[in-house]
Amino acid sequence: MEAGKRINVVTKILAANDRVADENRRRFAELGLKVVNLISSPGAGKTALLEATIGRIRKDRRVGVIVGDIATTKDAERIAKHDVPVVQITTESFGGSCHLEASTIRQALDEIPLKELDLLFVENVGNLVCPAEFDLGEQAKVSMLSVTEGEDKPLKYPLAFQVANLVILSKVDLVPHLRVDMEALRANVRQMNPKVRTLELSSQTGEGFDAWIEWLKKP
Amino acid sequence: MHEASIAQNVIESVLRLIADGTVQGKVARVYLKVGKLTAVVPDNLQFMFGVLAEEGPLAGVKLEIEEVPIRVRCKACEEAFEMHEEIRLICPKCGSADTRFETGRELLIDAVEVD
Repeated sequence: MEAGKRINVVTKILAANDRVADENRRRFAELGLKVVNLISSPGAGKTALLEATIGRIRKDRRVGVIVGDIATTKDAERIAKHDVPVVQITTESFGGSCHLEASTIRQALDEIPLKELDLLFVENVGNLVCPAEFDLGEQAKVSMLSVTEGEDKPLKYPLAFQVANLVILSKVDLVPHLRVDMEALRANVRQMNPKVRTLELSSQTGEGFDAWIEWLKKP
Repeated sequence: MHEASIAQNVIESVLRLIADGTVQGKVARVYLKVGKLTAVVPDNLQFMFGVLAEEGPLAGVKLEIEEVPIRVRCKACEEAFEMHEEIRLICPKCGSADTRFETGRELLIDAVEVD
């Protein structure tokens, strides 16, 4: 039997996603819109962070939110109470996907008044593995870890921390009640991303929010 | 479980290579390079590819998945380190934070074999 012929192609598997992400990025740049992709495990407090953020930044920035979940519209309902434009993507219709992709964001953009916004948050599906791999065209990826999750997590989910433009350590009001070693946690974040800025905050008490709001206001 | 999405992207990429004439003939195998940093489980990817390719033009095509180890290069002392159990980006030799991944982030179709 004749052996097969090998054709070298060297193509990025996610090239199609990256093309759509670049289109999204161009569109955001034209509109002067800052887009932040928020990544964390389930329950780290992404929705709570956004709820606490909207109240503090809305006098200076017009905010919109795209929320990704596998199922239910509960997060979008929480955000909508703050009277900002919100679009819920439930990935169930995409086979229960555990992350958002550039094309799902493109679809969601048709449902949100982009021209009336300065700042758009994308609350990714709660997951520290898959969302890190997919470029959405965002300006910044913010990876968040709550202090209850354990100081070893940056080492276990390297890509989520490696690709981050900002790392948030959330729920710091709980530190006195936990056996978490904050120094070890900070060191583990540095091991994954030595140059990244890390903010420590609490959506419950508002601790650390001044630096976060200031970071969001940067062009 | 991003393997399903990656498998779908492999299928679409190969179909595009066929459509634009880069690949001619009946596809038998697709060679992938997958970096360990992507956290892709090769068995899951293989399985999802089989399920998603079934009944399409790539039904029965075999995936050959080569896993690429994670290698970090220090820009300060120029030493390279292969990482296995734990990944650390602060240089173990000189302590510099000025490092980069040399390999490990690959998500590539390297080659296509046709009959």
